[in-house]
Amino acid sequence: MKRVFLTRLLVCAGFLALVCGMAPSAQAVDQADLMVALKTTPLLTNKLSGSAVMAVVFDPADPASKAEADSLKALLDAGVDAPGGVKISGLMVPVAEAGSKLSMAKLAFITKGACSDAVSSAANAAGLLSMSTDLDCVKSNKCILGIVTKPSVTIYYSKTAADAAKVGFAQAFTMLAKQI
Amino acid sequence: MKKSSLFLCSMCAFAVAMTCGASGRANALDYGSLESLFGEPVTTNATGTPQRASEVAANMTIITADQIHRSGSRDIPEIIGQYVSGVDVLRTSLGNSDVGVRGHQMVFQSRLLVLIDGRQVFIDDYSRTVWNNLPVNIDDIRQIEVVKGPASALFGSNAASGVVNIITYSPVSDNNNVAAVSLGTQRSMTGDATVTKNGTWGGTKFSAGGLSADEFKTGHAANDSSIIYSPERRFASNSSVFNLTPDLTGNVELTASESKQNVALSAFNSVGAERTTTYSVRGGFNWQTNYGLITSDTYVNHTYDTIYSSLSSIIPFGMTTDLLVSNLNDQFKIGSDHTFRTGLEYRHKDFRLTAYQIAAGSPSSHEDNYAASGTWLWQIADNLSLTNAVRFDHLDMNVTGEIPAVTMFSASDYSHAINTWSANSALAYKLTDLDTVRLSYGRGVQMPSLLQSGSNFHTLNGGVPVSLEGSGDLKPTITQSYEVAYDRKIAPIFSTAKVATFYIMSQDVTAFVNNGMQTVNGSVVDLIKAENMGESQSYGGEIALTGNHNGFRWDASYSLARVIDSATVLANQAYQGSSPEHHFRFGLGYTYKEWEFDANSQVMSSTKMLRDATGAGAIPISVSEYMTVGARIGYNLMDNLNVAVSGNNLNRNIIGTSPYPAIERQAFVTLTGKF
Repeated sequence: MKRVFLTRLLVCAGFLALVCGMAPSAQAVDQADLMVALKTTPLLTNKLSGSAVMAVVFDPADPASKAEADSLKALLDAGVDAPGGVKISGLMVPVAEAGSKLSMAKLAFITKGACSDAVSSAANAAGLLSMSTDLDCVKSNKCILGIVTKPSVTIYYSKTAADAAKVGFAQAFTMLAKQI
Repeated sequence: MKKSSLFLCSMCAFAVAMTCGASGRANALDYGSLESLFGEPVTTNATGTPQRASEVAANMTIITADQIHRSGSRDIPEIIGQYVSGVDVLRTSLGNSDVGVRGHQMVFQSRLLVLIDGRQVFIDDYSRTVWNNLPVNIDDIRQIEVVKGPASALFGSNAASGVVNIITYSPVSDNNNVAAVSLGTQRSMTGDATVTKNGTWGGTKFSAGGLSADEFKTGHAANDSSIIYSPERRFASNSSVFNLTPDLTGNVELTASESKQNVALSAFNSVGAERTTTYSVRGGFNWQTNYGLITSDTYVNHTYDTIYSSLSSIIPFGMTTDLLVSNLNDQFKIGSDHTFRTGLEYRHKDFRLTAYQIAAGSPSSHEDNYAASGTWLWQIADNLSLTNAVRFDHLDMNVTGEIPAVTMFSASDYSHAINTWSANSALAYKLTDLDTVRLSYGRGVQMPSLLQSGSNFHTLNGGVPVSLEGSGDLKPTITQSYEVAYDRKIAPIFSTAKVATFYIMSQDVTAFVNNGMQTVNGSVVDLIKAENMGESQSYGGEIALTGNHNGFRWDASYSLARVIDSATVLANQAYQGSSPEHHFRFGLGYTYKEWEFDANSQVMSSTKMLRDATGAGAIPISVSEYMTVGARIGYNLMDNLNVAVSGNNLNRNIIGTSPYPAIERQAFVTLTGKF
């Protein structure tokens, strides 16, 4: 039996050595963030259906914010579905126009540098789900969900912001998210 | 309690539950969406609150639907044995297995609680699970969660060494429509199907299926009798969830199952034939409130079981077991770092020996169990968490009906109360993003089985009077477990390594003890009586490496479980030697385009179990070390149609894995369609 053990162990070791040399595939950060953000929508108390507009809120004066928004818009324009077959379309919203345009959306992705009281107030008034990769925006309760995808998916959740926007989630989700 | 009053009780509890819920709001756990979001399975099985698989405060393995699909098996114990280190499967016939955790193996396994979607399918007569009788379609299982270590603080008694919770697809948030047929050696035929219909109103799901096969043709011992040559299984179930409001869901479930299988009997250590019929009715709600997620669950299990023959000349006997469980739980968060679960539970059990078998009268036994429990998860820091759970149980027991004249006990001896508690505590420290250390303690409670605590019957064995007597003064078995575990992601090889060491002490182990011919109330009888016998300790550990990359997947583990019984336990129960001390598992798979290739192998060291092969009494029988090999090749004919050829025990025609009849090589062709 010892020979059998040894043979199998050697096969396993050889196989592991083989896969050690393989490199992980790369994935665009913005795309991963967007997909994870959309995967939170089935966990809303009031689920999306049919189609929904995602506002991409950006600051035209901030090149990084603008670049992130352009990248997101490009991804959305390529055609993206949220779980449940909900068609998502993108709407570019400069921070100055948040008050007038956010009411057209169900979701808002706030780019880094675009987080402000005015945007938060407009999102709350529209009762939409706001998300960002800018955790400071969540920590200051101006955004409901913070999205982190590396090294593993972590969702940050501001109950204060969710309550202000009257956005509800399945409680199982809020228990799994890191509440700020 | 009579059947009608039990039914009335259950209906009242359900009505109360629904009335409470109707004024509020609800939300069920959406496993699929949460798994998709977090990139890993989610479970509530460790603490009663949702946790990610990588963060559970217990030693848990989650077998995913994909792994079940690729296992090549439609037998749940076999699938568990294939994927979970530290678990051993004792197969005593084609239709019967027992699953032991960390060394404590036995026929009619009492220490492992088994649930389907949180409903107990563990049967309280002998305290065991009839796996062949489970009313579940293997293709409707989302995941099988296996917890190693006591979990009574969450699930109550019988989770003394672990829990298996089989989670099926949701009728409301999943859309599982699947049918499968499988043909194989031993003239085996299985057919299973699930149909789901859902919408904004909720969802409903119907599953039905069955198995027919020929028993292994390996030899039986002289003391085995009334063998069933064609084990079989039939089941049907319906599960519905209704979205009553955005925050309130109600659920109803009905199941029916009938099976025939050959079983190795505890107390007799011989093989008999068994027919098992079970029905269950269940209702509950999930209500999302400002005070947390309030859930209620009420169900009734009715089991009728006939042992056609236990010893060659004992008259067959039947057992009826009714179980009512009703519980109310609240899960809520205080601040960002503290998650709580509180729960109340009521259980009622009725047990009676029935039908044509009893030479003299036999009492019915009844148990009322009241329990309060709580869990507290404290996220002390981003990388440090503490989980505590505790449960208090108060159990009242009594018997009604005729007590045989030849017995050591009176009705008053059986009327008694047991107060006990169980607990779990775990400290998890995330050293880095890649590795976690976990220290855990568990105190589990294993209540005596209904046969051990309340049965009393008098029969004949070859003309010799036999008195099998449950004891009213039995203490529950208390199992305490200490564990240190270390998990590490090894990114360069796309793998996760898990290492765990444990020490388990079980006190007041309970079993039927054959006292030989004794004079009882002036009559000489062969006295078989349930007794507390002493201690059993075990120690050991597991090391496992799993991973996948570029279509390849691999899984290897080694587990050690060494058991030391006290002298009385060794003589009458013999956990020591009952399962292999050393257990190696290897699995390797590859997916290429439409093809799926998987192979697995297990090597087990020798065992020594009690077995009464001749009728002269149980003696330890040694079984040599052995190896099994399984494999599966699958091909996707279309997007929704898969054909697979699979087999197990492929390395030999016949393999002796226990002192019970040897098992045979099996091979299957399975066609699975999703629609």
